[in-house]
Amino acid sequence: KKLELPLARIKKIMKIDELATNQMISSESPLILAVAAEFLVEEMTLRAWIHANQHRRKTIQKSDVAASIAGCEMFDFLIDIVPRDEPVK
Amino acid sequence: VILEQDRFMPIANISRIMKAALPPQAKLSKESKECVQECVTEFLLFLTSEASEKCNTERRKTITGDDLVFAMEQLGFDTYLPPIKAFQKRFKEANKID
Repeated sequence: KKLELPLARIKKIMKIDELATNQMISSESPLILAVAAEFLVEEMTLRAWIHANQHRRKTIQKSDVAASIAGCEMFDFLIDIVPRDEPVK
Repeated sequence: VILEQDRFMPIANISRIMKAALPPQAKLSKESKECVQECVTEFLLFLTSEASEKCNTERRKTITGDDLVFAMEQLGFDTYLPPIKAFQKRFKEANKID
């Protein structure tokens, strides 16, 4: 399977972490994160699509992504990124 | 110094993954793509931070794939692990040949 996400950018983002700035990163690390991130995007998108469908829309809105986060325990770490109290249509 | 454009995953790539996961009639608002872009970036940092702390505790200098797999287990992403472990195995084997 071809990877969709650029590994160099993943490495740069890893280096934003304070500890990781001073650590080295093995060559397989960005690859593993690229695969994991693709799963996350796919799952989040499908959950958002289900929510959009329930509201008879064909366009996924930000509120659908927020609903996908609220409806999945695995996405709890994102609650600060996408606050729950945003108006959900 | 980290440039602003380097702080997030590129939105075009995110958008392609999203579209590939959806039926053809589905459309994506710009805000929904930006939101997923922020989320996936946070996800990378979340896993990195956990893996990085493990390295630090064990006084190792290099973040390995195993550290990230461990972080995913710790943080509740178990469902992603079987295909990732298979991927990691293939990667290791390919590197042996090189």
